[in-house]
Amino acid sequence: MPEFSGWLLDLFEDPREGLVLYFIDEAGPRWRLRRPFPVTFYALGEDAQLRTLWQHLSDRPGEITLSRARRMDVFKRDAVTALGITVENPYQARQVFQQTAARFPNLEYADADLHISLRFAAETGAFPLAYCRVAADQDGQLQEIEVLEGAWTLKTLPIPLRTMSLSPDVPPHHARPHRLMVEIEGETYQFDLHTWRALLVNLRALIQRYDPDLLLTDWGDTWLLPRLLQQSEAHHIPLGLNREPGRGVSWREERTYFSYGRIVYRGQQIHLFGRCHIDRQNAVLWNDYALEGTIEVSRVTALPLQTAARVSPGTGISSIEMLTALREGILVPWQKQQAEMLKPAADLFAADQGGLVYQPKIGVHKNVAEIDFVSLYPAIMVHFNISPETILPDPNADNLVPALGLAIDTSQDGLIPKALRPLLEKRIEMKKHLASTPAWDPYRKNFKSRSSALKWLLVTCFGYLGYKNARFGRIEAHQAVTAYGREALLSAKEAAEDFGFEVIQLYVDGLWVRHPDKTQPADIEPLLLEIQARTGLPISLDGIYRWVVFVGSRQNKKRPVANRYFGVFQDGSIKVRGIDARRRDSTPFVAQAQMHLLELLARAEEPEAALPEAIAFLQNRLRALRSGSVKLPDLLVRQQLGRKMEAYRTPSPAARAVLQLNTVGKELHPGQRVPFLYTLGKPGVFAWDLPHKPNPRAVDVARYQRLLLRAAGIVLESWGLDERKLTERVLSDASQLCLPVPPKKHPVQHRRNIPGVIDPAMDRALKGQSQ
Amino acid sequence: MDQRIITFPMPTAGKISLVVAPRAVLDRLTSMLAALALRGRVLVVDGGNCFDGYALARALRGQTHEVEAALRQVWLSRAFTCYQMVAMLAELPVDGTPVIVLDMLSTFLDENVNFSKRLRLLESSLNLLRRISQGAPVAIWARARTSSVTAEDQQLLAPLLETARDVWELQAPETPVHQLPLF
Repeated sequence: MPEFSGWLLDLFEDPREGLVLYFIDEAGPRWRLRRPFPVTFYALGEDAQLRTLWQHLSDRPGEITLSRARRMDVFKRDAVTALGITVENPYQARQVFQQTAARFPNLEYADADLHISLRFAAETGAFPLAYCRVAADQDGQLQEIEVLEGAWTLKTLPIPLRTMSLSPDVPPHHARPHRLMVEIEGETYQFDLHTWRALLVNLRALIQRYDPDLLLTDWGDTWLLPRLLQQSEAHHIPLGLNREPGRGVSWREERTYFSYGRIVYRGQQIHLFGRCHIDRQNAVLWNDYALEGTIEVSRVTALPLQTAARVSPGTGISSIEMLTALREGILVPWQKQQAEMLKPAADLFAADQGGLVYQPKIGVHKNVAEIDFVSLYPAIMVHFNISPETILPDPNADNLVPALGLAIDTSQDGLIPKALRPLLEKRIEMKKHLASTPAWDPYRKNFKSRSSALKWLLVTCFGYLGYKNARFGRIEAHQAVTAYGREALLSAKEAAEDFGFEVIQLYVDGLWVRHPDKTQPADIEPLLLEIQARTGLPISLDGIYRWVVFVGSRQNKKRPVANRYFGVFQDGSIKVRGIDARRRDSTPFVAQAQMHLLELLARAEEPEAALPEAIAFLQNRLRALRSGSVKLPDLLVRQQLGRKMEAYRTPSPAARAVLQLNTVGKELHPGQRVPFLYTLGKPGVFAWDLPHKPNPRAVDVARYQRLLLRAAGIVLESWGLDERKLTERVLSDASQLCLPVPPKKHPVQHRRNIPGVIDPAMDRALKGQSQ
Repeated sequence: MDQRIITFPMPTAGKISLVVAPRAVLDRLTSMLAALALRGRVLVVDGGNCFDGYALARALRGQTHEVEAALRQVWLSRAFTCYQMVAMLAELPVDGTPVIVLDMLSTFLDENVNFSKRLRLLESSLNLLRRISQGAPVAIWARARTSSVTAEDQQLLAPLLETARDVWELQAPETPVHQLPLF
């Protein structure tokens, strides 16, 4: 029987065989192995109740083993006595736990609902997609597994995944697909979606022939696979989507949840056994880090690939913490009971603050250096040993958190720093590596995707420290992180001012500074070293802007807004934050135009020189808009549905678009994005996913014109062309705009009927009046 | 809400006082909290993350120059899950200190926890409050919700109403219908 080197592709519980594992052998074959894998969960509570539970479970010998255990409770900072309940077959463990919890609801439970891959990784060190040396016996029982590439390895061997892509020809929520495109090993096949029998037979043949490891689909979770399975059953043609014989697919329900104040929707999921299924349209952050990043998440979180593709970074970081706890023998609570410490209301003012922000100085600034702490909050957790169990309510201790009256126990590493340290170090290493990797290097894309995946995990780890359902969250630890963060930023500011820099803006983990004589990266180096020495935290230069513009608020231009700016680095690259070009609900027409304006300004020696070209460009875009030559998809607005439809008092444009979709039987849930066009008349929108096509003449040109000029005004106002002046300048040459002749009606009526005439400047232009 | 009600009667030991009202009642509760803080220590358990320290400071400023000292009399802890609510109430000192529970039902509306479990945890919380109320004044605010609450969740109010001795149910006033002025 095999002894081979390869990658652990998938693992899951089996009702008969305990744990089943699928491997990709580097020599080509795929192996199905198995092994017994008893799992243990713990019950905690009063002795009398534990004794009753013991008696209740003790009549199931061979199936359940009971033991008295001492395990570490991180919140009690001590070992506690628990009843260990070991279930021989992991497949039954969930059921045993649910029955026990229902029968004994007053007990606390730990290590109860952990993913099997976390338990396996904690016990053997082998995690999904780990490159391993594997030995098995003649019956396919796994005997030995040795990890050859750890989760923190920087340069990893490429995994020879056999990937089959399946996509309908059009998005199914938009229009009815007619063809299914299948791609594998460079070959593309097209199947007619109206002749299901032929499709099923051919698709089954392809799956059997190529035996893919990964099915990479578009709308596979929510549309394609459910239909394939339905037709497969109706036609009695099994497709063999699973590699594991005799298993159906695993369905997970759709859900809507809040994350960082935003509502998020996740469609239903379909997971396979023995091979993986990823729906690119339902995967988390796929557009950001794609398959390479998802593989990285799977490796560092020890979650199987198809799970890692669909869970939020928060769940990912939680998995890393739980894995660390399992390895350290620390109980993972099923339901966290720990509440916030009682504290005087007066202390809350100091404690319950977020990151520090110094509002920017509005306007154009030249030769500004942007300096960022590297992964500030994770770095603070690691550097200052912040973890739920290391926070001590001792106001007289030496090691006090600034302004909090809490101390940090530094006598031993906390759970959270232990979990985060390798992640943080890998991210820093990867960033360094990325900085020295030339653009042509084929590994660059891989590094970029993986680095992005790690970045998201690290970004989330701070929020998870305060998240109510986080197993190892604690609000005081969360507050300690921001307190150290504010202190670090203030120290950085003081250092910059000591070195003669002017501080333009502070924003949580970054500062924008300027010095008339220090305009090159080497000039900034001494400041970086000083800040690092004062704070103990890594800091780096993001770049030096040739110029950067901080814009004011929309309501009051004189009021500064944090994190709303755009600028051009010395290497010509552009950075934007908080303006239309960056916003996800901007129309491509507006976002692309704003970005183009920025590029024009960036290319010019002095931005002022680019203004005539910018105005000409805008006139050109308006001409295209009014003549109907802008493609309708470029005018689409994609807004998120923020609540249930019945909760709207005054429906937003997105809600009005959803109401249109409801009339044709299409349902949308809070958190989903709704593409629509602004149109004339009521209801003022056209939902893009309606079955009929929109009338291009109904597009509300005036509204898009306003959006374009407003976005352009944001970019150009620092050079004297705000929205109002820009409107006048751009529309002054009315003959260029091919305006329709207004009918002689009541002015209010024709304003409503003719696109683009509601602007005062346009009115004046129409009437032939000068300024 | 009825604007004629300016302050609530101070809760007294031996019984639980319950206010069922929309969020607007928070101003009145803050005034009551300020009055209690001027008398001595008071414990606040916040189930809806709605405690407003600045509003309390303003309420105190009208009555004392020693605002910070009074703020130090108000001890606060926030519960974000129904499990935390039970754990927090179990840990409260039973020494006669008045206890105010803000937006008590908010954490029990968590749809991630099944209803029977939430109901059981609510009962546990009320048992703990009953015990505390034997020696200390206890006041609970249950936020009246008009939308986004399922019929099942609405049942959660019943155990509170059964437990409380004094119950104040306040509603937001209906929008008055006025004849628009013609001139």
